[in-house]
Amino acid sequence: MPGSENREKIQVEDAWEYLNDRFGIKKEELLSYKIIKKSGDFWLTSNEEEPDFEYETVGIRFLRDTGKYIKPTTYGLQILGDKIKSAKIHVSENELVTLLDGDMIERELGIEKGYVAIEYEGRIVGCGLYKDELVSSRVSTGRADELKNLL
Amino acid sequence: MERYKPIIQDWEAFKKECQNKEAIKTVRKNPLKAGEDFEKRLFEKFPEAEQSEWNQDVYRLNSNKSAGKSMLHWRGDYYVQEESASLPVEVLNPQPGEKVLDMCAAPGGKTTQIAAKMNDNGLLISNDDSAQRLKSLHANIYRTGSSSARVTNYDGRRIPKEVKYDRILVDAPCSGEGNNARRTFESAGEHEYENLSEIQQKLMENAEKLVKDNGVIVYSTCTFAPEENEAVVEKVLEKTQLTLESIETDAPHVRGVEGFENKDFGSEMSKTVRIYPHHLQSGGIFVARFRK
Repeated sequence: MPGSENREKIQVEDAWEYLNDRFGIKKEELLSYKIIKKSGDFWLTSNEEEPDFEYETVGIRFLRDTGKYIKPTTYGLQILGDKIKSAKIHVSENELVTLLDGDMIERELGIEKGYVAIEYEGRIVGCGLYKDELVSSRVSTGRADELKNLL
Repeated sequence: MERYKPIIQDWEAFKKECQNKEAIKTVRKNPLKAGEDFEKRLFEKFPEAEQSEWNQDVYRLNSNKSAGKSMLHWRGDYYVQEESASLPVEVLNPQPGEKVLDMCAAPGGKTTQIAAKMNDNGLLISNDDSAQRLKSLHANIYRTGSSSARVTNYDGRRIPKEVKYDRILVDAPCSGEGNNARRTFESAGEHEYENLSEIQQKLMENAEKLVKDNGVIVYSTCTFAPEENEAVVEKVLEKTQLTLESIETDAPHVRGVEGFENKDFGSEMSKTVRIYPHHLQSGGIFVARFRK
């Protein structure tokens, strides 16, 4: 799975490489942004140097380092939006409900197993996991419940 | 609220509007997330919606449906915000690439508006001294994709001074009469005005130290009390090198009051702006703009 290197070796450059390899997004497409590593996770923020303050958060949690893999967050994928060129699946309303209920849907994507962006009605709604030609949701339970109630 | 009768000329309209328990529902488009088809999607959900005459990003929904329960809200395509509350950031007018401080940022309505105005490009310090309120601030920053926002938890009076900002918003803690009027129609107490006024002045004194030469500071509250509005502006002008700039806006408004209860604030207060609930079927707000 992309980004599955040893935990200690996953650094900011690996995160950029993961975005390119998995989602087809080049660093040059996000010139006004930077990725920083903080508390083990990768955060997306504007490309400005921060003053030396005590921060609660810097930007948006973008990629999580699970120890084995790099996992994009739902908020991170939503920001990438139209820039995502690969590892993206379109779902119908019924399929989205299935995913949000915790079940899986079938897809033949012809890509390596790993995380995918879930698109509904032309908009990225969140993160999924593709494995053995099945997709499951990785949208957090709270956000998934909120979304399900809106469909 | 009767204490304000002498300064609110269209008193009956004010009183009548405050008797409506709910303000009209409005949302602010978030260009960081909203696609080109935003209006189409909005009108599908809220067919009676209409764009504000003075702020192209604001839409009145004219609907009983909850603005917070839609896919557009879930995805951060819009932010539920009272029309009047969008004025301070319009007056601040932050630009891409600038350094901006939002001194009292939670729950995030104005900070996410600043990030949008900056096209999420620049340095935005979103500070709030309430650790409890940071949760809602974070949630709103994430939902709207405002990645330029860096969140800090300093007392606004003690924010480190190593950075000078192009623009600072001091949306100060206040007695909140502009919002409470629909609930109780009672003004806050003198003791509350006194305490808050002192904090508001201190926040502005620190803001002066943090802003660049020629930089802009916008002061705003959502209260009607001159003790927290014009009286604070008067003290700031006395104690700092800041000058007051006249606010020009197409939003329905009246000018700040030059005096209240035997206190004279001076003619400069006509440069400040008051919006009352009946102006926009919204909350109340006071806005002043300073330059260093």
